[in-house]
Amino acid sequence: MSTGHAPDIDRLIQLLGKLPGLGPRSARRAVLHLIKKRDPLLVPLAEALATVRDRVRTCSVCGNADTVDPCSLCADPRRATGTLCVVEDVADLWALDRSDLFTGRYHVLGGTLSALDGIGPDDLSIAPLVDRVRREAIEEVILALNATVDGQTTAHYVTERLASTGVRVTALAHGLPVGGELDYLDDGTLAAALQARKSL
Amino acid sequence: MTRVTSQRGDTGSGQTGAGQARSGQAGLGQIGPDQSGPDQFGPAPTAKPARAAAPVAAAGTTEMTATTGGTEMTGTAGTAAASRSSMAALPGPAVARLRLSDFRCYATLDLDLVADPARPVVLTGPNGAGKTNVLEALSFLSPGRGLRRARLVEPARHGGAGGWSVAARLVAADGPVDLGTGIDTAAAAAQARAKGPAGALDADADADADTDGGGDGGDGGADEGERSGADGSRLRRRCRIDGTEASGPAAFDERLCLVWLTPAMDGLFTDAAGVRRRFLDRLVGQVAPGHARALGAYETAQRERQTLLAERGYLGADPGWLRALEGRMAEHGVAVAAARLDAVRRLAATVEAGPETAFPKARLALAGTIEAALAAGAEPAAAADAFRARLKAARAEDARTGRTGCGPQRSDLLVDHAPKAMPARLCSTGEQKALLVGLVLAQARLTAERRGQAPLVLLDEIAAHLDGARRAALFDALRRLGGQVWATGTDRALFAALDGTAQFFEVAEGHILAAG
Repeated sequence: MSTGHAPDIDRLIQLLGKLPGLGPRSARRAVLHLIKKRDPLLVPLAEALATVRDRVRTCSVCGNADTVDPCSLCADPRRATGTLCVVEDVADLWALDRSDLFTGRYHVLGGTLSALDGIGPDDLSIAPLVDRVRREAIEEVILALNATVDGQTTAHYVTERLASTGVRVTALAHGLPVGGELDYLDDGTLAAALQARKSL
Repeated sequence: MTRVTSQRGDTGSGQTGAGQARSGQAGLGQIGPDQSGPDQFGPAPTAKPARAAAPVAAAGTTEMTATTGGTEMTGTAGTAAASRSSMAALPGPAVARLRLSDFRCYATLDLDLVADPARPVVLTGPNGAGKTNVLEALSFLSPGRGLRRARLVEPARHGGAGGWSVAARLVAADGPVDLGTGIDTAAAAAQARAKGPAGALDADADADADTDGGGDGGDGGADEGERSGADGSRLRRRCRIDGTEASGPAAFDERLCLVWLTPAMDGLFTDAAGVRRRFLDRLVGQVAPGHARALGAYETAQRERQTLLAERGYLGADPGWLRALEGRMAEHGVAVAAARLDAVRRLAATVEAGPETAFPKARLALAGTIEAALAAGAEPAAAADAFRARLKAARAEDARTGRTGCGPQRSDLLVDHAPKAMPARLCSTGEQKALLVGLVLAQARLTAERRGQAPLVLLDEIAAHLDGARRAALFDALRRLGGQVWATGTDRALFAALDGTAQFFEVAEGHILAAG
């Protein structure tokens, strides 16, 4: 079958098609767009990719992905607030940080405990977390983990591991979403919301 | 007006009944107002179906017994349920139209019906004609794996493309609703490729093995997908409500409650405890909507703990990790046990309050670790602590045996023939059948009362096994229930009592013809 172009371009389409949110069709469109905008888009994109390729690393302190180590968050002295937010992976860190609501530092666990998937405490960045809490004058650890069985098991486990440090451990609230209507909530969420009710 | 169109699977040739063949592929939830003739239903409903009011605790007169390990404890069942059961629930939803494509023996089926709960649907025909397949199709409009407990790809027609779909328009008191479910052809093909021909019966799919340690999320709704071998992606049953993609089959529960009785349930009292637990959990899920989720969460944590014990051994497993998992198990296990206990008490009260009929009353009890503690009056938090302690003490044993020795996955529904004060499993086959019919009728009354509208009732080959008096009693009970009944049988004459009210269809080799 003729594709109308040489294998080089095919390869680029195939690679782009592997990106999340893109498929073969959108990858073809993207490649065509890049070819048309060679100077304003393709060249800088290639350079940016090369730069990131050369420099990207995992922050040795928190596990964030950045081009410097320690990452820009860990290097920022204003973020030494004594509060540490524990997340499952980098995507969660970026999501939280985009909101600009949390001003402290993060710690990426790299997953959740899952015996079924063979992921144990040693596969997660739990020991480094305990070290950090001891070393960095942390006053509060916020567990921002998913409200799944694995996420909650992990939260329980991490809490226990942190018990010896005496740090205050909190978790994100589960319940009524902002702007949500009670009528449309499922029973599990309603139960969680009811349990986590607070005095006004 | 009754119009039928069906297309026989193997030949693919159009076989028409009273109507005209429609196009071959009925997609998920494609039934729209524009396609279904006169729009007699008015505007789309905006309100959700009303649930019955919250339970009322009342001074109990009915006693329920929970037995475990030789200790016996009693709880009291509310009479509120009993007194309310005499109040008529709203009539249940009735099916206005049912469309199947590539489902079992039907390449396509298009049934138009009178959507009236007082007009039962009776399918008659020889063995193997495809009667039960129609009931099974309807049963997929509820959480779980349908009345045959099929794996997701199983209902796909042999010789079809691999996918299947069921779409139905239901008319309830608050208006019509379109429900559709099935699996995509492409997804089914991907799964088949990933598994290969030999992998079609892999272990993960066979979640209905009644090993007590195994856990069974099949009916829980939380474990509906089937993991494929290659990439770990899960084949999911797609579900649509009024043309909109729903998160999963659990969403159907809000629109439709299904109660069924099939020959496969005849062994309910003699089979392993897992079979009764599944029956019970399905019922509990119908009256306590969070149950399936709690059960699924419990089973996940239980499997994780068991995996941990198996892989690392009792001494090698990280005790903190075990404690975390046991904490999850205790939290969700207590929720599961409490919901079961509550449902059994209500069911017992419903049985008790029911009229004396040809179907003997059952005496119900629940055996189980946490259930017993709760029945004895333990606070949920205390019951959770006690269960956690038991799990901790049982680690070595559980690691050795490879199964979790205590917990809700070991519970059992104990049924006695009340008039004879005899365990149901020791009763004669005929008595067991009568007890079972009585129990399912009670389930139907309970769900009707709790949900505020009668369920849709599916009866597979039931009439044939009952004598004339019991058959009449069954039809009578169903009429009073107010839910639409779909019944199958080989012999039209058994349904003579329904002449004039029922919608009769004749099923033969995958065709359905309207029959008077």
